[in-house]
Amino acid sequence: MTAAAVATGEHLFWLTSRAAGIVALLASSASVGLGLLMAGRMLRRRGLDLRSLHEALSLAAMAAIVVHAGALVFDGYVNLSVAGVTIPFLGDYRPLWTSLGIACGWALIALGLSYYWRARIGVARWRALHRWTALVWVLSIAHALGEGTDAGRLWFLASLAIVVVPAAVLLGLRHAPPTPTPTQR
Amino acid sequence: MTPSSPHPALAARRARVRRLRARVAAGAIALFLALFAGLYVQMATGHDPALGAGSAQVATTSTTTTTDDSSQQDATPMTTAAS
Repeated sequence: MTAAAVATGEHLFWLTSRAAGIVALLASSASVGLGLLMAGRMLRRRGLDLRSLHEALSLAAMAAIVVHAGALVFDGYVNLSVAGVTIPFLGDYRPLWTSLGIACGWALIALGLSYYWRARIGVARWRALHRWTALVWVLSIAHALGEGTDAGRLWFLASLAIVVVPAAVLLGLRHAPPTPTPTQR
Repeated sequence: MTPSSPHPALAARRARVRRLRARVAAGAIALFLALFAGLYVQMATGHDPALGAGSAQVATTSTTTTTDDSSQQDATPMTTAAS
């Protein structure tokens, strides 16, 4: 086995974490974008399909978040504990960005899974709660750009822009103050 | 109609949702594998942003610089990340 293969083999869990983190970011961005399209009633496809796609993308993002954090526990190089990847401000490596990522991960999972308890929470309360997903998504992008190993790479920024920019525009439109319609005389 | 066999429309809807979920899961796994392969090749060819000049060099230098403990702390893969 060559030295490069040995060294790369040592970082398999780290590579897993990086790849899963990017999948989580892309899936959550697509899900947020689709959710905003649905909320703004900008798509005319069957509601069930859109909601199912939104839900499936959210579940994929949640699974990727679990892999993203879990793989770091098994990486012998960064040597993080389970507590280090699940409790904010416990690890030594870039505590602010890492803690932001941990908080965003928990928040996205909690907000995503709250969908299945919306009857118990109350639909109106759940809707109000669900709107916080957009803020958590923005903060998770900050985590990726601030701490991500590939954050400076053109391919990463380009692939991120493809899903983030449309969702960000939709988010801006949703929160923009309504323009006054001209009154007829 | 027995309780175990739902209405055909409901069954068709459930099947459509299952297909959609399977497609998204397959897409996410395919994306993950493509990213993993890309990052692996990037690292193996010495173009990794964190390991810089190559993982092979990190592997060899870590065996030769055993006298200076402070320099070994810099071999952590993410210390030079995201520049």
